[in-house]
Amino acid sequence: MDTHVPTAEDHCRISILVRTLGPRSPKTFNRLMERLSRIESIQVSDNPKRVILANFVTHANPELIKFGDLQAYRKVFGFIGVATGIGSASNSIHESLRSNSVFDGPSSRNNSTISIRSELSRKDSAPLDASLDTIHDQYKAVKSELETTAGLVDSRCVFLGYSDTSDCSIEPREVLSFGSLEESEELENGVRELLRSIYFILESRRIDTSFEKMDSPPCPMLPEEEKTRVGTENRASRNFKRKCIGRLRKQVADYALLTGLPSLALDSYTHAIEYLKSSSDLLWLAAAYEGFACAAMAIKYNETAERWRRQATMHRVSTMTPDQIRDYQEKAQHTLGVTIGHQRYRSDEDQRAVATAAAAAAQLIEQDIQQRKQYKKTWLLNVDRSPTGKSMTPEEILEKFVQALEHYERFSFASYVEYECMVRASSVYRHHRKYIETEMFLRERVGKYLDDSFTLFDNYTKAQICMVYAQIYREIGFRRKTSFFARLAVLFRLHVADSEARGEADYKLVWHHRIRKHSKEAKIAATKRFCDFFFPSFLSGFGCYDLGGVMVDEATTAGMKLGAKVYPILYRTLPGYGIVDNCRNAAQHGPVSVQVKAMHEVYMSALRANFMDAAIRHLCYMLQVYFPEFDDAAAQKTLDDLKRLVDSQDRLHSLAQHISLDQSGIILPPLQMTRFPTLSDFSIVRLPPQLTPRVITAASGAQKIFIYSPFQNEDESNDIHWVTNCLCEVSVRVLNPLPMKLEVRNLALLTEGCAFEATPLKLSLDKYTPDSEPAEIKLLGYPRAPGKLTVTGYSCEVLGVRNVCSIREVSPLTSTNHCTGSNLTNGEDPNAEKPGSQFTVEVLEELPLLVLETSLPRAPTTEDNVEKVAEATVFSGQTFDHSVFVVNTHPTITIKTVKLEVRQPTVFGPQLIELTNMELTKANNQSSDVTPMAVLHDLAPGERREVQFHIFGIDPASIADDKALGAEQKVLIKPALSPSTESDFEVTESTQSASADSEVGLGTNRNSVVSFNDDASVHNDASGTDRHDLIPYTGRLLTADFAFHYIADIVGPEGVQFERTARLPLAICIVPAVTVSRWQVLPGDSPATRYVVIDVTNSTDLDAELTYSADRRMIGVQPKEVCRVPVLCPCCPDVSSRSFREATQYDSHVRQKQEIDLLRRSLDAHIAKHLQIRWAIPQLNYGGIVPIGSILAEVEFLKQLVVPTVSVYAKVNGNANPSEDDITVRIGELVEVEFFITSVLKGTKSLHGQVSLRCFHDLGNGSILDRPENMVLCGPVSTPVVISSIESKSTEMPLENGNISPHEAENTGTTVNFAFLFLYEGTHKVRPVVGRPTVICPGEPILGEDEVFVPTLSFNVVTKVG
Amino acid sequence: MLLCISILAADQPPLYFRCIPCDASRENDLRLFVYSSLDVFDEKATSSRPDQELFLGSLFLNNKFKSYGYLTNTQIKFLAVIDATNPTLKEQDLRALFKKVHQGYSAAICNPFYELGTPIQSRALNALVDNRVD
Repeated sequence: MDTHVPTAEDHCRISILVRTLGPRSPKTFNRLMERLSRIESIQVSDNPKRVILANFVTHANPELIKFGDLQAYRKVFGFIGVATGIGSASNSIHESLRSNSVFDGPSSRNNSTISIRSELSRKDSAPLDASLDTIHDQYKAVKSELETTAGLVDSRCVFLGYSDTSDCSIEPREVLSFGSLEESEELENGVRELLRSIYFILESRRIDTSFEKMDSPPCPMLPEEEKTRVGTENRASRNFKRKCIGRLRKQVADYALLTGLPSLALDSYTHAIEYLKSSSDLLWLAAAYEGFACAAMAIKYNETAERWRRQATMHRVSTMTPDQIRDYQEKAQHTLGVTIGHQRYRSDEDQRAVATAAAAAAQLIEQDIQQRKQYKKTWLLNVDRSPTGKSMTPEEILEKFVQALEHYERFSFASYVEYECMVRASSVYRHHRKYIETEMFLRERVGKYLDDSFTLFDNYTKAQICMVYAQIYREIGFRRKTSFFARLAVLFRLHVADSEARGEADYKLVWHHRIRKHSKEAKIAATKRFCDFFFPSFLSGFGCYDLGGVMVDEATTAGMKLGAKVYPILYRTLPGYGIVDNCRNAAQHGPVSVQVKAMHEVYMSALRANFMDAAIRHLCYMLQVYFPEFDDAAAQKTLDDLKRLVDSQDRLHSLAQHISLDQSGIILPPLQMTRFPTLSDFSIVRLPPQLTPRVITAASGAQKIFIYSPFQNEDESNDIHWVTNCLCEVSVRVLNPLPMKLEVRNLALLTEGCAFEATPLKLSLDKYTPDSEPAEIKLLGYPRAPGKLTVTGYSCEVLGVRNVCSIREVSPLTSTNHCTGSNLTNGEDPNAEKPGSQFTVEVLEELPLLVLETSLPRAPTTEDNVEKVAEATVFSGQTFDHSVFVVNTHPTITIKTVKLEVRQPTVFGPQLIELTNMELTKANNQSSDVTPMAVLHDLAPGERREVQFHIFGIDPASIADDKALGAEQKVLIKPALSPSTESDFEVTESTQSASADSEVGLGTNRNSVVSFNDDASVHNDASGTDRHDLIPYTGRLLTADFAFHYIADIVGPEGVQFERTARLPLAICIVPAVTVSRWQVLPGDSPATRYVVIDVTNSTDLDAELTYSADRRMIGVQPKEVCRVPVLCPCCPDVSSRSFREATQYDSHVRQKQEIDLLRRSLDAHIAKHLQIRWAIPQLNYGGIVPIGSILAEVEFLKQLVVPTVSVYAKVNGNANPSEDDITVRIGELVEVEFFITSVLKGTKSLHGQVSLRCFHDLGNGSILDRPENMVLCGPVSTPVVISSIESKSTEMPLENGNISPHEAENTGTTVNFAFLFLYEGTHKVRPVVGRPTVICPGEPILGEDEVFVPTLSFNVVTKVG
Repeated sequence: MLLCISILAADQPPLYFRCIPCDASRENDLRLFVYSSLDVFDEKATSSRPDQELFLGSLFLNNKFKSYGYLTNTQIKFLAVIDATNPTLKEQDLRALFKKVHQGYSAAICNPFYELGTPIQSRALNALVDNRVD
């Protein structure tokens, strides 16, 4: 639809029709039109300077030409026929054939265009090769048609590509013949010539004022007037004469305006108005008023310049030479400021030139006015009105317009003229930037024309009016109004097209709310209609039963063409609703519900126009932007539409491409559909450890300025490196926001920087539920060349379209979710804070890969650990040989060096793993920190080398926990049985803890002594009760590590070398053959001996023989059986239990440790002789020592083997009861207990104390419950005792810490008797308590609690019956 | 009678829209009406206002609705739509109303949990619309 906004300037322009003759070549024709439009204005006279303006049109509306007498500018004064010859048109024949249909469509719809047109098209569609005769015929036909109807004055025929036009019967004067458009330099001159000749004729008409003196001047009539008025008037009357003269004056004024003399025209109009008013010739009076107003506007405003400025983006005005432009520029600058004052958009040179050229034209007009002033006739009404300073006020101009409108209103046939006049009137406000008034003026008047009851205009015209309105609003910046009217125009347009197809009901819907008469209310009706226009009645309005692709295929071509016309208009309304192409923040600019509807209409019109790609794009846009606003049904429907549309397409739609719709000049931008699926938290994943290269810079070995720098370690940069031809990953979190399953195909990374081969993924995502969490996936790919690689985005096929998204669209999402995002991002990407670098990774050149092959079985232990762990099982104390092959798998690159590092538990004595064919050497002797390495040199491509080693079944207990293996190790060695909790014999609890452990050198006589490092003991100190938990369980999993650091034989830039590490983790399960599972200390035969009962387990599948004790007793153990071995062990006389306590009294922690270490050594040495148990498996001829390290590790154990200071022995009812069994008594049965108290206390003073009994329940969980009321004592409750000290009789006895040999203490003792009975049944425990006397003599030694060895008696009290 | 209040940020995104309880089509009409008033609003706002008057007066009317505008010094746009058929509401009332809206808005953005540029949830503003409906 053409949207020519009527302006006052129209009155000053001479219409020239340009028309193709013969075969069409739209391209040539358009270029020709463009060239013509540059010669719109020509100067026709120097003194006075006058400029005429031409208006080149391609079609003329005969309905309006009819008003040519009323308003001269409506006439077509000139005609240019353009005949494109075969020569130049041959290449565009196909194009023309194709575009024929396109061009025919609108014209056939528009039945109001000149009738010749269809005739012509019929003619020239038949013969392609139009002979000169045909062209001549056509030319003549158009010419004669125009001469009769439109007042044609002169014409030209332009031949392009015709070799010889001389035999053409067209007058040579009218022929402009060129070889092609490119060679037609003379065209402009020819056309100027045409304009001049028209000008001369119009000028002659202007100056012909002979009618003033005629007796009966001719009366110009409109055809419509003739119908109504003819014969009713008295032609001889004076009134009629005045009318005729008025009309003729009006015509003269029109010509004056056309020939560039607006001020003269103003005068003539004034005269005409005078006459016409008196003769009450209202139509012509209205026209005269309009002409007057237009002339006044032509003086006051420079509309030509404005129009040119608007067109400036399209072409330059090249009618003036640069000199001229420069000439006028300065003048224009200030004159514009005074007279026009509306030219503020001179931002660049181009526009400036245009404005200047326009200003030049305007200035010419002004000069004319000034000239006129000099020759001004005295009969002018407004003599004092100067064109520059005191021109008419806008109010005056408007008043004229309003008068014109009032008069026009009476003539229904002139309603289009009226409408144009109204628009012109509104432009007065526009020129003064009174946009609100403009809007009001237009709004108040438009309703009349758009009202449904106004049938003089068909809907096509109404649509055009709407388009004009839209155009005006666009110019004044009311973009929402623009959209409104554009859509209204579309509605009118469609209303015509589909009137048959529309159903009755739909029609009613539209008309239901019709409000008549009131112009304002008509607007409401329009609004209603507009609302109706919304989905879904909009859809039914299209006669669209279904939205799918099927429907589209069935759509008539007319429908498509209509859509093709409507679509661009609708599309361009989108910004008016705040819909922007950049979809990231599109939803923020307007009401969403309206936006969705507007988008939907655009989509529908695209569908109808058969712009499938555009339709898909719009649907995707809706989904991407408005999905959160959709309810499930709407989302489902949109998705269904999309699916059907996509299915109907035979190729994949790509959202990343611009869609260019040639005919409408719309270019749809690419869309990034980041919502489906929603990807977030991109992060580059480090290569797995065995593939991660370490970059060794050449300088790293060189001397540093600083001897030590805290930053030294950071030379090992934390940058992520990828390696060429090595599978690399980017982790991303993905979420499907749709309420249904989503299939994503070919999801692949997009990168730039260096070659990258992405591995496409296929995902099937579950439907969205409120508690859906984004799933983490890995996008894979192989870098194929070294360099800096930047991950720019991803592409995928989703919902049937190809979607390409930039990571930048997604990354804001990533940064906001960063805190909650995966710790992977935080942990692995130190550059996460720096945008940009976040997705850039350095790809190193291809590196060789070392593969390890081993004879041991390998299996992955954990999921993240890609390196398989080799497993081996060995018996404790045995040696097994194994080997590892290192293979360079790379076909071309040599591995320069391989450094082998063995990480294993540090032990005293033989190592767990020992290399047999290589030697571990410390690379750098200066530093003790450097771990010893074995080095292999120059491993050629494909070469295998063997590394032999043997595994020695060390006593697992003998490991000093090294920090490297840390926490894991501690968990592993947690013993299955904890003696301290399991013991069911009584141990006087030690409150002192510092004595727990100490460093003990590995005794050479046994291979099985544990040494704890300081860490462990400190830990034990702190945590009281479970301090012995670190005692290793006999037989356990040990881990060791072969680390092969290999450097490729490649030197990178600046001498950089690349190192990779291959690891062979070994899990060695050492199965001890015979182990201690449990042990107890029981009182021995005498106070100075103890029975150590050791449960020895045979873990093997074979019989084992044990040899123990001093007299070499033998015992056999079945496979997997437990054997209890009682070993009589004398108490160690060298150490007193008191000495442990004393050792902890030292202030220095180190001193304490040293003291305890001393004590321990002496105890160890003593006990080791007695507790040695040898094992032998005769079948395998293996033998060894049962590891008792676990026992010896316990200070608690050791302390029990010390002769206690005070020992108490019990006899129940006269029987010594060393057994563990409960003594069964009945309630009320008297129990007699005799306690024999001995002492090895050395000193001068005897110890006073008292013995009492304590009765309690052992609750079994370590706590006890005192039950003194359950027991009735017969006799004394407590008995005082005197524990006499032993005088040292023999000085040769080893005296240490005031202790004497236990043998001497045996016969010194006191006996205490108690008798009691139990009142209640249950298991009761009774223990003697050696208490302090009430009166303490000074100087008496104090007994520590752990210095007293007391037995606990256990009674099972049963009822009488039992 | 007041039909709806709308608040828009300087660069257009709607911050607040509340209308009296009505069916969806009427609400859409109101939204559209508010939206189409913006053209005039922009025009009035950009034309020079020598007096520091925040109230912009009547913007737009049809036979159902009438809209008034108010522009704060921070370029926040307030629009109120009233029933055009009801002549009781005077311009003075609207000035008072806008003052209250301004207060409500100021209170709403003082909320430390409110992020500028996001839709406003304000009980005070809601009450303003709801109370007027009677």
